[in-house]
Amino acid sequence: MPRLPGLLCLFLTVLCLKACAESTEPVRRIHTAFSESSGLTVVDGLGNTQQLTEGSLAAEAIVSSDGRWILVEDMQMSNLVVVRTFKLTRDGYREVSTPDLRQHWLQLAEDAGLTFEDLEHTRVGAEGFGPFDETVMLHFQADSGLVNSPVIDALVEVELSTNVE
Amino acid sequence: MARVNLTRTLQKEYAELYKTLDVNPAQFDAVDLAIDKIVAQQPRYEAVGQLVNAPWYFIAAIHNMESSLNFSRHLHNGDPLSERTRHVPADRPVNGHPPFTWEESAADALALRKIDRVTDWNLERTLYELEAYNGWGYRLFHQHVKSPYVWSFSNHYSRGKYVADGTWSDTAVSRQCGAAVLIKRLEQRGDIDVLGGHTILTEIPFRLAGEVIEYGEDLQRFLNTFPGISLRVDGWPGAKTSDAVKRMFGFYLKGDPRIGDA
Repeated sequence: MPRLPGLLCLFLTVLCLKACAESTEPVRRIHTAFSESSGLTVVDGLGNTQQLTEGSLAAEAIVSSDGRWILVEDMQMSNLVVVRTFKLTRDGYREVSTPDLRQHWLQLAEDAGLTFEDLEHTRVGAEGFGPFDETVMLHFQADSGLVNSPVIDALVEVELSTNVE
Repeated sequence: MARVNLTRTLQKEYAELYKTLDVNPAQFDAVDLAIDKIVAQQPRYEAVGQLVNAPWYFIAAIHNMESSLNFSRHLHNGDPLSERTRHVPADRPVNGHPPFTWEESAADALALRKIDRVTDWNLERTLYELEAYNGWGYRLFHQHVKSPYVWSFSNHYSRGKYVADGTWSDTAVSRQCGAAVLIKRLEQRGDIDVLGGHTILTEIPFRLAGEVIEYGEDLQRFLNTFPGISLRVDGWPGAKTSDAVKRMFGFYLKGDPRIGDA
């Protein structure tokens, strides 16, 4: 019995140390670059390079404050930009399946009196991460491509998934 | 994305598609509505054309395809002109200070895509640059569908496009007028003159003695659509007309005595 509080203390100490270690995890220093031939690449502090996208007309990366998340504005066609999300894993950055752009587009199109397939000039931009980097504000823009078309111009907060593809 | 070269085969394809292009009758009114708005703003497109050395109707077609003729947004991506672009491509235009005029923004967007480096704006090259501007996804990955960016609202396109989340749909139908359709309709209404490209141009003869030929006036009107060229439209394809052809397309008119000079 007298040893139980000691074990409990030890256990709690380990938990505290683990939590402290996580909270003081150094911010991951990375930088990104884009070229038409190489796509979007990310380079970490050790000089390791990873290609995130290819085949884009242009791409911009927005990195979370701790470096765990990268949002990529991926210009796949001149009039079509999607946002892709990458999460840091032991094997480098891996694309995750959220945000579910289609569901948001469906709702926004319906609200504007359009169908999903009517949408033209569809562009999603990342406005920034939420306070704990678990959500992101996305800017959706589109119209129907016709003169005097209804316009979609909406900011939507989207949760980031941990579901690595 | 892999680049597609403008080969002779591709030139022939563009020329043939343009020659056989018919505007879908059900969409005629929508096309003409867009044309009316474009022609009303022709001086603005010409101003950008002077900056990037491109014909005004090419810029108008891009403007329609990228932002439904909205002059309050960057041509790059639809961001507001009150500041540099925030989204991809970000921090454009590089030069100048916000707020930007639409003309400044458009010239930067076109130069970013190297449009200002194009020198021979014949019909085939124009159609090629339009398709290239949008990206080669249709031609590389969905050959059974002619790019709606160029051919929508015509007999050359019925369905199939990339939808909002970047996936491909075989059933989705483009709701906007393709760029080639706009240009063809501008030509049909007499707002521009677009010749059939090198095939015809190379056959137009040089004339020394003020002799008017059948396509002479058409040629001169066409050449006058390029920045920096101002020919008298008299139907006589003499030295000045031949100079203009040389400047824009790299060769003199057939029979020009200067052919072969170093």
